[in-house]
Amino acid sequence: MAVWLFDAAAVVLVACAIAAIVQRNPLYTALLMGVVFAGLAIPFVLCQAELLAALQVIVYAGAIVVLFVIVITMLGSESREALEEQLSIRPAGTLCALVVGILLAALLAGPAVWVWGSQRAESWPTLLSRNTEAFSAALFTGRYIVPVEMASLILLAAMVAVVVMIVRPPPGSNEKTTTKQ
Amino acid sequence: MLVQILILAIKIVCVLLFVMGMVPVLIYIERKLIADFQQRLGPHRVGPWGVLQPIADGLKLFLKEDIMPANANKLVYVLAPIASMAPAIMMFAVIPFGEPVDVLGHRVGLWLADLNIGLLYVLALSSLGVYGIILGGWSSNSKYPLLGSMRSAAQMVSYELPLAVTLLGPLLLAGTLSMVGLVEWQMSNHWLVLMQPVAFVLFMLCAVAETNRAPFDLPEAESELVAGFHTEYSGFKFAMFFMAEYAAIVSICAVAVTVFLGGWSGPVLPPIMWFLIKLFALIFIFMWLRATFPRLRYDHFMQLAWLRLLPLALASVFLTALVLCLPVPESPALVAAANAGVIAAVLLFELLMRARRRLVQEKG
Repeated sequence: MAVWLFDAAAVVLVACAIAAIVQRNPLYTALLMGVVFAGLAIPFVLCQAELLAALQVIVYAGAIVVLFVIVITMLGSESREALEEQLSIRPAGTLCALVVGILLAALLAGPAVWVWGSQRAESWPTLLSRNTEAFSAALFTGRYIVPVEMASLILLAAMVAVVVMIVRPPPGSNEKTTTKQ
Repeated sequence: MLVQILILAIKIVCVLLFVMGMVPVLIYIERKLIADFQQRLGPHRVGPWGVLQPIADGLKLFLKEDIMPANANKLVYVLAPIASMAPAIMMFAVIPFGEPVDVLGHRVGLWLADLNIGLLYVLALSSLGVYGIILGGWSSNSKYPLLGSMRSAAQMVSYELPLAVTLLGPLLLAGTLSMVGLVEWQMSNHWLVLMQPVAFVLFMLCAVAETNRAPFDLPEAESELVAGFHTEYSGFKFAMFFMAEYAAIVSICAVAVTVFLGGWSGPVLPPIMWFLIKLFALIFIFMWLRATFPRLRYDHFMQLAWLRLLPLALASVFLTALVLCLPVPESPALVAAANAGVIAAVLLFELLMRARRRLVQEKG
């Protein structure tokens, strides 16, 4: 049952991923990417990593792709075409895609060979059914508490920086005059 | 095995029928209630007391011509109503309706799935709800729908944050993400609304905003945007957006009942009755709000989310965690007092700031 589901999900996900790259309409690309991100939750669930599955959907499909979709819908199609004509980005884009593709292939090939060699796929651990607790315990009380807090502090600093940069009133703002009225 | 699959199939059909059946009921109740609030009669022509009005409206919508704007993006235009309806219905998979019952020698829980990560599942689906609205507004290729969907995207992204944070307090206390686990914890302890009153109120406020209901219905403000993101939709697709809105109300209220109001627990009456009573009480609050408050201005509305609700929610979580860390036996009174302290402190701060602002203004 699990293997069958995994195969079906894998076929759909790879197909969507390929479609996302081949697709010319940027909105479709973003939506297909959303499908891939959300669909990645299925393998996670099959590995009994429900927490990761939920986070995958919340963070990637629910937040990141939503931002992509918002940006794409706000850019008019006219401006997009104009941009494409002006920049003639095709050669540069092809080059970038090639480099990224080679890097990705190298990255993926390493672990794949390793898994193949050691036959790890067969002894996939059937994890604890309550692994959410184990995961959070390791994250918040165990050995990872310091890195987690550090990361949260760094993110907080970045957020504060963004707010400071944005909220600064523009020079010559007429705030005073409006309140006096 | 076969019996289990059969039971699951029956449960799925029952939940679907419940959600779909709730929509016309809610529409009728809402129209009657709003009419009462405004001292009108409301629907009273179709059937006795007008109870068949929603069915007549539904039939009319299904039979209407399905218009699509000439330059609309066809695929996305069709996809958008589905994308907004699916998450609202899927949320019901983890809602427990009642205690487990014995059917033909099988112990059957009155829920579809008791996920280990039930609450996170709810949050994941509520974060997907925004897709339908953005896509619907954009694909119509029309100004007002686009404006409406932009507003709505900002609104839903902003209000999701406090919504998620308010759920942390109950989570800290109960120590489980499972919806059934939450109800069982509340049955053996106290309803979480008693220990997390601030979180409950904030959750309901954010829920109203998440479902785009008045007074937070800026994405579909009739006086500014025609009808918001679904201006160009007609017929069956419009009906789907409409049903999605009501299904979302039912599902978010069901989550509130489960997390804060003890789910199916209650004396004398059968558990499922208690669940329904609490559910309708919360839905009534939604309609009451709509009848009472005027729509907020857009900037006020964003300020409310980021400068009021989010800090309040964070403070409530922080104080709850602090009380749990204290070396005293955990008592509901203490947790509730800490929460009430948050409100008092924030109100005091707000009053002080107002007074200061007034002073500054008077001085010029």
